[in-house]
Amino acid sequence: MLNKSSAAKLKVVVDTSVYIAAILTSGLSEDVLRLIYQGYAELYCSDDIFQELESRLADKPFNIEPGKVTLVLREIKSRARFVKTQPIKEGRLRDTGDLHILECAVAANANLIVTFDKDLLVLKESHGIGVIHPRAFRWMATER
Amino acid sequence: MFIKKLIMSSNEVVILLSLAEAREMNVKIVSVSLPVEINDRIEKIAAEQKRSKSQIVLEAVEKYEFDIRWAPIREYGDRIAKKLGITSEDDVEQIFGRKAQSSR
Repeated sequence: MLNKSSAAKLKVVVDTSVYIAAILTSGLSEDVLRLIYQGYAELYCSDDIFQELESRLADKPFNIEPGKVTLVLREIKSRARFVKTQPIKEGRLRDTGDLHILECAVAANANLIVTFDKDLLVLKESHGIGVIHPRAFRWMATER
Repeated sequence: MFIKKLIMSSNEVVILLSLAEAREMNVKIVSVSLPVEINDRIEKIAAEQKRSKSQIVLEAVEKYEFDIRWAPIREYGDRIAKKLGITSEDDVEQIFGRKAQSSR
């Protein structure tokens, strides 16, 4: 089980895919956020991730109404620490549209990126940061 | 006088230890009134889990906080999921999987 003390707390960046799954379904993603609320890890975010989440929620196929998008964003903002990102390079990344996730993790000096995105998961590690599925994060926090 | 009283009462000895711990851990000792039955249940859970009562209460509050904050979001999310035919997390994962395939 992960240690909840601040000295040992993990720094994590959560991909928009996990936020969206936590909004739409009960399960792994909701557990990831719950564990973060319980202090198993510190959540980091960037303006780019925030903007991506906002547009993904508002656009097809989800078409979430503006008031609800604001509610989600406000909730995440109340929990996350925001970092200023710098451009980085990752030649192995299949979709450069995911670079902002890595940039946030590097700026936060994060330990982990938690994502469903296969383009990120396939990296397994980048810049010393582990890229893991929500299932692995939940296992780390609860089962080990 | 105060020290003598502490030695005489095991509960107060616990409080003394907690105060020392509190200074180190940046926590605050608070007094909360609970029905005896609830207190018994907390003690039972703490014994079963081999954890302190404080840890059990802390975890309950953290879970509660998440539930009350996330519940209205999930309620709305359920409606959207139903509209889109999303029945499980696998369906959401598929949506992001399709993004991965289409980008190549």
